[in-house]
Amino acid sequence: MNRKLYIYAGLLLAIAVFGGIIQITRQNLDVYRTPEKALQDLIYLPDGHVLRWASLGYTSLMADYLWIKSVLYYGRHTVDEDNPFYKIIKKKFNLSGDNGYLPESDSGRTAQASSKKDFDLSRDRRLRAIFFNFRSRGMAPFIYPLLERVVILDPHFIEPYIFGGLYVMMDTGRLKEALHLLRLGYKENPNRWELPYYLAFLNLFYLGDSEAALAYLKKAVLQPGAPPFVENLSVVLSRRLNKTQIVIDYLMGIYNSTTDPNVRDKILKVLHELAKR
Amino acid sequence: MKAIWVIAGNTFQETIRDRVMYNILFFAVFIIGISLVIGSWSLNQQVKLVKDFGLAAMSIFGLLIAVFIGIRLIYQDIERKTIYMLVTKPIHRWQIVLGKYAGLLLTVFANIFVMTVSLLVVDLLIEHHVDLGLLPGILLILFEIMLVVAWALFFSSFTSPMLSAVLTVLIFIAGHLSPGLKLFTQLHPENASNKILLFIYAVLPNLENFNIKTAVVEHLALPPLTVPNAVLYGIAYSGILLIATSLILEKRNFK
Repeated sequence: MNRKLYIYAGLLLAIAVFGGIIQITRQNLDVYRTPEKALQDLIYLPDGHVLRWASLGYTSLMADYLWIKSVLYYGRHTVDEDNPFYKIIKKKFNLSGDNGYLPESDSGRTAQASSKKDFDLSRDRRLRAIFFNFRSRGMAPFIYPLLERVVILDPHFIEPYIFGGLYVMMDTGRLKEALHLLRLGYKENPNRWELPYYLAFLNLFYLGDSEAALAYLKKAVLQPGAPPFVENLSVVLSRRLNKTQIVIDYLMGIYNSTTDPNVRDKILKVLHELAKR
Repeated sequence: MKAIWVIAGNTFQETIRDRVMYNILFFAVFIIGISLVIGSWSLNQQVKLVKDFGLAAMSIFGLLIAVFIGIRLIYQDIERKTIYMLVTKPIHRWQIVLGKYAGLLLTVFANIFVMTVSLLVVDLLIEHHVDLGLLPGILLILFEIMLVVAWALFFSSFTSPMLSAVLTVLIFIAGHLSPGLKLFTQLHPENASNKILLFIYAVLPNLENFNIKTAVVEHLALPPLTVPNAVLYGIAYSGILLIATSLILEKRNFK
């Protein structure tokens, strides 16, 4: 009986000692687990086509995993008051608000193509302040490579195209990558009206090329499920009405077509700004 | 035929009591449930994520169950000498093989059924309706597992469980990578070793034939007769493996 008691006591003591060691080492290791460290997660990923083979048939699962990684990565690096890492980013990048406008060299077009600007929002001071105010410019440099891997793994996963082509672009000003992503999406999903619609949006609002925008809108109109406002917009654009009205109609179209609350919120903010100015 | 069903029933009863299987099944159902939480991080893609996770969990855990139990099925009977009780009866060895195979398939089917119900319940919670379009994908997952089980049984008829497991996993990997062989020959038609590569491609099971998970989740149109062709392919290939297993067991001396 005594022997058993000693054994149980010994075991309890061992558990207590191990528990203490766990507690102390955990506290020591948690010192290194800071929000700054979380922001430094480097992303080493092979090319999307390599990942496709490596996934052994589980391409959708890997695409979903990378999609969540992309969303979390972008959320941590974006300049937004809701971002818990915002203070660290603000301090790190010495931010003070307006990040400036998209320079011509970032448009991703040749000099010859940019001379086609017949719908230049940047000439209108108030529209420029709304649409070319890229708060998170320079942030999240890996977002587009991540999104590209997602869509290579699952080319019919539409949300990454829209997220990168619209939401990230309006926040970071990375037009070239946004156009590339949307064109990739359109090539893989020619029957979706959303992709040519957003391509038209970028061409019109950021490249000032109403001809290219109209061409994309006409393609969008022909796709199954295209809402009536797409056709209305193509008619309006072809009549070349007042710029602000086109902008409002386009934004309302995007607002009505998406269920993403973040995109809807952003569009509402832009519309309120337009109404104020 | 009666002998096959008796052995199958016995095998089913034996395998359904295996604790390893319950652990794997519990984990699979847990993963399907946890996808609800993970889905909330995906920016309104919860439905897609849950379905992708659910089908992947079904496939991966179904395969794990098949491999862990399949590799021991015949080997265990030989080691424990319980195979003598069967071979001394007036039944053929191919009936033993078929009976074991059918029993394990029943077990796999029961597990897949539980996982399917879990997935459809989770889907109902999110979408408020059940997406029956997932069923063809689940059917082909079942046939993929059927083929892997046949390989596991084949290996277990002449080698140890450890080696059977390794070989079965390698076959699984090779099966998913095998379309790359055909692609290589198409891209490099002048290559001298194309005939050998095409022969290897023909011999290896092409498990991508059963992979329509993305298509069923995103409701993409499939080429006509994809599912029937894949089902027939699975049955025919499994048939060849079962014949080979029977022949090996026929020649095998259990002393």
